Amino acid sequence: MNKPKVYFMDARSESPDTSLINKTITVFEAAGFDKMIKKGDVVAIKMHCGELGSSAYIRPAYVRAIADKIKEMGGRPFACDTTTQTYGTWGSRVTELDLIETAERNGFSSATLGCPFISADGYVGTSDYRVDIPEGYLLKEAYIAQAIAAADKVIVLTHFKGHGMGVIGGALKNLGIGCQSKRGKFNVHMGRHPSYGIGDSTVFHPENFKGKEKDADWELLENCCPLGLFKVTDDDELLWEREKCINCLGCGSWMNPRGIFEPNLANFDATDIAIADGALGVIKAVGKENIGFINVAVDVSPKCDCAGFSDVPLVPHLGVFASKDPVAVDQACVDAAKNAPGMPGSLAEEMGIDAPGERKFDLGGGAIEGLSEQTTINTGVVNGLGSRDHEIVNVQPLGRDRFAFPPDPRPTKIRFEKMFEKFQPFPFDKHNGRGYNRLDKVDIDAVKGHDGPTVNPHSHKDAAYHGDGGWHPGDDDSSFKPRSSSNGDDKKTD
Amino acid sequence: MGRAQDLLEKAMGNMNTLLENQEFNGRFKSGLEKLELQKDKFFFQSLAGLPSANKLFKATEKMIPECNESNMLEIEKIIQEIDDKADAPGTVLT
Repeated sequence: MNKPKVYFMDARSESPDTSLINKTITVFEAAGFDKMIKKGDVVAIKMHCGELGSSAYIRPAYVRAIADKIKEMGGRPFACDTTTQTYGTWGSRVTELDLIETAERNGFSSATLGCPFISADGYVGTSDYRVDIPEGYLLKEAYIAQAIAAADKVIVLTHFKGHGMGVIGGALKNLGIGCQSKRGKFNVHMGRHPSYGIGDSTVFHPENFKGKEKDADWELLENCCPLGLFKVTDDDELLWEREKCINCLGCGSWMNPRGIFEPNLANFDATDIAIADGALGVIKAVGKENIGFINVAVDVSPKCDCAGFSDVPLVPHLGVFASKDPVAVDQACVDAAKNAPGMPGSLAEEMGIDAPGERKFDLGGGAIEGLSEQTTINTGVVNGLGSRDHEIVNVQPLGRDRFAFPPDPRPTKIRFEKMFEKFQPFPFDKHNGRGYNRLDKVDIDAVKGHDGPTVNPHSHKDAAYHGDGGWHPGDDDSSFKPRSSSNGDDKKTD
Repeated sequence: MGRAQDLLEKAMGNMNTLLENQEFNGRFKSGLEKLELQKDKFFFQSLAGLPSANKLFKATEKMIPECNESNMLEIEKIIQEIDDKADAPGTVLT
């Protein structure tokens, strides 16, 4: 059997055609995604718009470039993300309204993307399409966001990074969590699962609750659950209706540090397995021939874009990867990160995993010890989603003439000659054709030293600008008045 | 025992050895008392505490051959960081 191909370009850039955005388009074409799109196809671009506060999420310019390419092929693109479970106490993408507002704050709108940005699973997150997945390792059904299931083609455009629960945030997670509706996310996160659900498997230590007086944030223990399952009684007893817990993860950051919850590693492992099954559900809903994957492995932050912050990247930029196989494309990124040196000053260094050859995400991504960057990938092999084994194809740049400014790709003379004749922006008529009032020569070396200038600074009292020991405001301009002039008494002093 | 707890134990072991130094004995005792209160918390059971444990271990290793005020201050700074972080919410699961 042929190994799946992963089309790759590294992160170095020294010309317009090797810009990372244009490399993304280059691998898009190399992987044949342009040929996949037919005239009239509605094409979903599944991306992660970033939780409020995160800064490493994919830049809108990448999405725009893909949207432009899809339109060039005759397709009708839309960009999308999905609503979240809640995950935390102050989630910023929990409803469609939250999601759109956060996306706009983070720079994603029809104005920036050249196509609409929508919530793929509706207002609350219940607009979905159920698929059976008998091949699933753990899940046997999945709920796919409606707009993704309804699209003719899907481009899964992923910012590759680490993830607290999923360990890696790659194409598989963009499918297995990102393309699931909110309802589907509860399924993948093991809500109400008899062995792996938080309600059934977490060891609960209510005795570690210190009481209202000693815990200034005690009200948050009640208010962090969307179902209101926690209650602090008048006797300072913390009650939890655990049998109703749906694994929204809203309470973990309050209960875990207090020792009230003893998290169960199996819940995390099971979720990582389920991510691959959820991903398979998307492929079944959309069709393998209708979907392509691009991983942009830059700003490889330890935690996901859903965390609300972005730490120093674990490794330097790795490059862009494209494939028809989501397992292969994620494995290629994991391998590249493993082989890369850790970024100085990053969590990789603090964790002691900065040497090339060290797995970067087991400790750098995962929230608790014992998780593996391979769990989801290996499950994707087992459930038939794809192959770890792959062939890297190094793609060559397409040439700078392919990447002209899309709204007006004509060269400079043709675009501007007439305009500049009419509206000459350079004042040729001033200063003997030199245009501007400038000194002929200055001591350049005097301001190049790292430890500061070697000439004395001038007073700013009256000078609008200075540079040669004297000052020359409006040398040949009788209308010039120094900035400090308020009563007309200011005089030239040189 | 998890990696963070293991490293913390090693750091505390180093600090116990360093108790022999009369000049810093009191400050090491006080540091050890603080760490004793934190070592079984989720912060060290999870990976959240691993960078701090790692830093503390390295700082104590440095202190053994070079027992001076500057290195002592570094250790105390890390212990203070641990105190500040250990009970703070924010374990990132997602």
